[in-house]
Parts: sequence; C-alpha cells; structure tokens
Amino acid sequence: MSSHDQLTHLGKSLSLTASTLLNPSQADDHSLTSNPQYKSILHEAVNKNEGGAGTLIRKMKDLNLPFQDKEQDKSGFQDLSLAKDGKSYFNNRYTDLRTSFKIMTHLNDEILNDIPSDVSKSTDNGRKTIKAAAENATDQGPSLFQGFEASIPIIDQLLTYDANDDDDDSGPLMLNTTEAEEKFLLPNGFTQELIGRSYSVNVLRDLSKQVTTQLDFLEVQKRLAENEINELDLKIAKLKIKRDNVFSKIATVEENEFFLQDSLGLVQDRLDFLVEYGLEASDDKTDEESTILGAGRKGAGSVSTGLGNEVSSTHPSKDGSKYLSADSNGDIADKLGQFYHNQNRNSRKITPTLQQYFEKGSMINTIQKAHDDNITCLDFDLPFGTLCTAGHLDHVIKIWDLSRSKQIGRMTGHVATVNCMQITNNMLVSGGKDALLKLWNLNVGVQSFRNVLPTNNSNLEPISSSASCIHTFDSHVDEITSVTVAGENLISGSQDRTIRQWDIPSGKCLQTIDLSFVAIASPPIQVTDSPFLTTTKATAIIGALQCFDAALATGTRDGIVRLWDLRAGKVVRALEGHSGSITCLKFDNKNIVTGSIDKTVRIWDLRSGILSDMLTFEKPVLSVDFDKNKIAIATHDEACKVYDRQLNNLQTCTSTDEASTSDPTIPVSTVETMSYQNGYLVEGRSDGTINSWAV
Amino acid sequence: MPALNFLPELQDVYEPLYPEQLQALHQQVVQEGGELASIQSRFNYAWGLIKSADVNDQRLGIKLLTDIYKEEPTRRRECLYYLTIGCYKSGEYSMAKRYVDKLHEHEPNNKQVQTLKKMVEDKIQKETVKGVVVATGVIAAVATIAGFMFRKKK
Repeated sequence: MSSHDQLTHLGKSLSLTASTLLNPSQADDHSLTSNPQYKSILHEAVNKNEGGAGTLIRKMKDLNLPFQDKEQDKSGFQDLSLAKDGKSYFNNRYTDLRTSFKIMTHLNDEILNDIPSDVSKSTDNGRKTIKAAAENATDQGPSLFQGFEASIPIIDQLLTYDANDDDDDSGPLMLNTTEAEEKFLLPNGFTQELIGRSYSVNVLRDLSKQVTTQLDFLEVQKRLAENEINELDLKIAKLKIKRDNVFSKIATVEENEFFLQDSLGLVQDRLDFLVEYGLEASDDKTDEESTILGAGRKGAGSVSTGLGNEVSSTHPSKDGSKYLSADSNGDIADKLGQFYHNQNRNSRKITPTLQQYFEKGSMINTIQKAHDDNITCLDFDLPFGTLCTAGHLDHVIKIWDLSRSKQIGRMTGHVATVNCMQITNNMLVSGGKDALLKLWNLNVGVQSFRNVLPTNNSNLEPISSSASCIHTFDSHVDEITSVTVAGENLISGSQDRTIRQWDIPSGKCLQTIDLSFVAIASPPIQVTDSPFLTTTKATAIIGALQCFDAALATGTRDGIVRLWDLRAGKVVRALEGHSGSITCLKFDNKNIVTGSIDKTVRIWDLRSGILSDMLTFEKPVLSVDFDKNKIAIATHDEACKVYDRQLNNLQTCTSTDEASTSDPTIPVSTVETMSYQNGYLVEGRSDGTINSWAV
Repeated sequence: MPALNFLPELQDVYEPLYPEQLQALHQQVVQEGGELASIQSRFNYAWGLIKSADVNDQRLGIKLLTDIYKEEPTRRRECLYYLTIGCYKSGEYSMAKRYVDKLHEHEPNNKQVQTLKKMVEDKIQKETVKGVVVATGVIAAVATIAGFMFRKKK
C-alpha cells in the first residue's frame, strides 16, 4: 500500500472514531462523503439506481480514467475480463485504490432500503426470513452461496480433467463423452454390486451419508440449472423486445429512404421540366438556393404543383393525337423516347430488406377490398414499394403504397378489364380486354391523384389520371393476355394469335409473330380446361411471356414452352411436357419455371432444355414467380404456396387466426394472381383483397 | 438441505481457493459475456475473489456483489450478508456495519445474521479503541509540534 493510502486510512479511522463516538448510525455516510475529491462523481453516478456502476465507469471514462486498456474499452464489464486482479481493476490515476473501490461499491440509502419482502408468502408481516426461505427451498431455490459450493466440485473436476489431459491432446469435452457411462460413480470406488456383498454396518452408514450429501449437491445443481433456464428465458424475452425495437428502426429508415428517393425524383423531374421549357430563372442563384435551403417543404410543394402544370399543359396535344395513328406522329415518338430515357436515367435503387426480418410465412399487410371483383393482375417494383393492381370489370389501374397499404394513385384509360401488367422503374405497361396496350407514368399517376384528392373535384379526376398514360400501343385486334418489358422491347401476346414486339422509345411495332398453329393443338385440351372457363387466363392462347434481350419465352395453350430468337423471329427450342395450357412462366439465367392448367409446375434447365424438377398440385397453377431460393406458386386455391428449393419443402402462406375468423362468415376467397420478389410476396384474391407476405 | 449451509459462516471466507479454481470461475464469467453472465457465475467469481487473500481481489469481489445487489432485487437479502462478510474481511468495517444493520432490520431472528452483527460490532469497537489511541497520539504530536513552533516563533 502506498503511503497515501495509509494516510487516507488514518484519516478514515479518525473520522470513523469521531462519528462512532458522536453518532454511530451515520458513520458511513459521513465518512464517505466527507472527501470532496470525488463527491461530485459520487453524487452523479451513484444516485442513479439502476446500472449505477455502469454509469460510473462510463463517467470515469469520460474523465479519462480508464482501467489500463484504452483501446479495448467496449463496455463497462469488459474491463473485468481484462483486469487480472482487483488491483488493476481499481487502479486509476486520480484516486488511490481504496477510494475508487469505495466509489464503485457504494450503495446509496435508497437502494439499500429497497429490499423486497417476499410477496408470495406474506405470513409474518410480509417479511420472510432467509431461514424461512431456506426451509421453503422449492420457492426460493438455493442461495447463491449454495450454488457456489455446488459448482466448486464441478470446477475441480474440470481442472483435474484438464490436468490429466495435458499429455494426450484430447479436450475435456471429448473425455466427458467417452466416459459418459462411467461418469456416475459412488464415492470411494463403491459399486452397486459391492453394496450387495458388504456386511459392514459402519461402512454402509458412511456410504449412505456420503451419498446423501452428494444427492444434496445434485439437488442444488439441478436447482441452479433451473434458475439458469429461467434467467435465460427472461433474457430471451428481453432480447425479443430489443429485436422489435431494431426492427422498427429498420422500418423507419427504409421509409425515410423511400421518402428521400421520392423527393429526389421530384427534384429531378422539376429540373428536367425547367431545362426543357427554358424556364430557368435569371436570379436563380440567389433566389432558388435560398428557398431550397430555407424552406425545403415549400420548394417541394411548388415542385408538385409545377408538375401538375406540366401535365395539364402537355395534356391537350397528347389527348388530341391519341386518336390519330400513333406511329405516324413524330411528336409522340419524341415524347415517348424522352420519357423512356428519363426512366432509365434515374435508376438509383434502394433495396428494402425489412421483409427478411419478418417471421417466415407471416402476413405483413393486407388491403381489404382493393377492387370490387377479383384481382386480375398486379405487379410491384420493390418490397414495400409501389404496387399496381387491376380488378375484374374494373377499368381502372390502382396504385398503392405497400409500406402504408394506402392507395396513392389511380389511372384510367382502359375501356375493359385489364388482363396483365408489368412495372419497370416508374413505368407500367398494361394490356387489357380492349386490345389496347398502354404505357403509364406512375409518377404522374401518383401526383395527379395527390392533387385531385384534396379538392375532391370529380370533374378533374378522369382528365388528370388519364394523363399518366404516356402512350397507347393499338394494333392488336383481340384482347391482350400477356405482356412483358425488357429494355427497349415490349412484347405483347394477344388472343388474336399474334405476338407483337414494340420498340418503346419510338412506339413502333417492330415485329409480329403469328402463332396461329397453336390453335390446332387446343381442342383436346379444351376439355380439361372446361371447369375453369370463367377465368380469362385459362383460355388464353398465349398464357405467358418473358423476354430478355433477344430471347423470348412463350407459354401457350398447347402446353408447349417455346424459346424464340427475336432477331430471327424463329423458335429456337420447344419444351414439351405440360398437358394443359400454360398460364405463367418465368426464367432466370439458369432455369425456366412454368405453371400450367395441368396442375403442375415444371422447372426446366434453360441450357439443356431438360426438365429438372416438377411440382404437382391439386389445383391448376395460375401464377408462378421465383428467385434463387424460392418458388412462389399461386394455384386456384385459398393460399399461395412457396417452395424452398434448398430445403425442398413447401410452405403455405396462411395466417391461422385470419383463416379461422374469416372462414365461417364469408366463402373462402382464392388467390387469383401473385407476384414475388426478394422474400416479399403480394397476392391478389378473388374477393378483391390484396395481401403481402414475408416468405 | 442439511449438508449445505444456506449461508456461509464467517470462517468460510478465510479459506482461499486455488488460483486455478479462481481462474476457472473468472473464465466462466468472461465466457458468458462479462456483464451478461448469469448471476450465479458472477457470484461464484465474486465469492472466489472475496475468499482470496489479496485485498484488491476482495474489493473486486465486493464490486461484483454490489452489481448483483443492484440488479437482482430478490437476491438483495442474501447479498447483504455476503457483502457484510466481504467488507468485514477487507477491513471496511463501517461499510460492513452499514450492511449488517440493514440486514438485521429485515432478519431480526436469523442466528447467523445476529452472530455476524455481533462480530462486526466487536471489531468496530476494537478498531475504535485503536483509533482513539492513534488519534490521541496524533493530537499529542501535533500539539507538541505546534507548541514547539509557537515557542520558536516567539
């Protein structure tokens, strides 16, 4: 001990003496707080009841009083693992060991007085003595000291194992497992056989005593383990709460991301608008900057109204020319090309990950009665992003915000049911029973909805919402059943037995592929189709399309999947196997997955064209979507199915409580269409409900 | 439980563990994540430390016990007992007295607590006598020096 320490000790005993002589009960408080050196620290730190020590340590760190290792200061208690002994733990530069020890171990009166009396057994004035607790060990469990006593033998055992093991290099764990049968021993090398042969009363008495002791030990050990389990349960509960908090943090961050991205889009649009029309203000530098910096919100407001103006100002020309031949109108083509390039330019994307942290197979959101009748098609851009839906006999395309499950836009223009749609960036392509193929600007759709909604002016609504239609591709003569977009290519398949390839920037039809030969194969299949004549997809000649660059895959009514080379306009390969018309298909760089009326989903190898897997269901497959790990399948059933390709199991998207409550009241709705992306699945049901799931 | 006392005797604390044992206890706490370790393993380490002969180890043990005390209200009574013993052993008699008084308030009929309280009080009395002796000595010395200096000044 340093001389300083001794001096303090001397002073301490002096004050102790004085105080015990004068007022024994206050000895401690007086002596502790009489030292002004650490009075303030003490007050600040110790007065906080919970985590007093932690705060104190942090405090000391703030004051640059770390315990030896500055680089590794992670949390308060980490210091403990670094400190080899008490000396280094309490060592610091400002106070001597004893004083810092006193600060750190001080319990203020408040916490000292707060000793809970056992409420469970409030017999004698609610006070239960330790002894009583001991008698009632089942309630209280063993004391910490008993736990200590019980764990010492275990540690000894481990240590001896360790010592024995030093020579041969097998760890103590190995030893435990190999000697598992011999682990349970009677003391002094007794065996059960020996007991039967023994005639010595003393030895047996001794043995029974020892065994009883051991039993007691074991009992304590058992209790300890039980306590530990309880503690762990508590911790798990706490961690769960923590997880929920972090989860909501991700949610807010992602919402913020969306918001910022939206704003960025607005700024970009405004910029384009200003540049395009030469409306740049001359005193731009001073004025604009100050408004942006000073009142961002005001700026944003003016942006949206500005866009509204743009929409209405550009509208008449577009409206008028819509009824002319679109191909011949150069102005339209210009506009279309510009729009297309704009869309491709701002392609900074955020990738939401929140759905991964939902429990697998749980419902994230639901939109009740999105449409009056069944949902015919839907698509979304990102998880928690924008969703577009269309309903049966409803000519409107609705835009939804998936994170808030709120409608944010509606787009009119189709004059019959919309059959199919696809979103790319902020662009939507839809095809309907009216044989029209439309290209929409979702931003305008959302903004016009925003502008119209507050005023509730029904006159304005149809005009502004139809303005979001950038272009109409009008060449098909029968309803469009499938559509796909890839780069500049737009491919549509129609009941008129043609597939058309369009160039989006120019709006021109590049190629028409005649599929009249498909019809020949259809009659025998029609028989199997008959129960499902009500759904449009069941009778679609071209059930599904997907395009990548110059490669096109089609699924048709004859059950054959054809792979085309668009440059030559010829079939490269035909995958035969389905016995019913194909309703859906999707491919990536390895596989092509197809679903059919014949109740199977087939997974083909794209390179060899060989069937690599097949899933069979009880109902016709309506929709299929997949990524590397999972295949999402919508059959004519009440729930979507998700097939895990790695684990090889099938999971169903049903929330148990939801099903039980809704079952008795209304007839079960079935899934009509579905879209899946990155663990996030959106399904559209026959009753007009839209659900999103984490899978 | 006849074989194991519910609470330790005071003598118990004067039987130090082997360094390896202490090391193992420490290891367990570290393995379980320091502050996150279960109360029992932390107590084991703390008690092992208090049993040690080194006063700084004892102090660290007391520190750990205080943490447990703060964290686990249901263990407070017990902890007071251990704290008293720990403080007694490390020579912090005033702290020991404070704890044992509080414990006695809650457990007036407990034999072990009574003995402990008595021992702490006896010790304090002894210390006080010692203190008084020291104090008188110091006062005398100071007085002498002062007197000497005064005289010198004059």
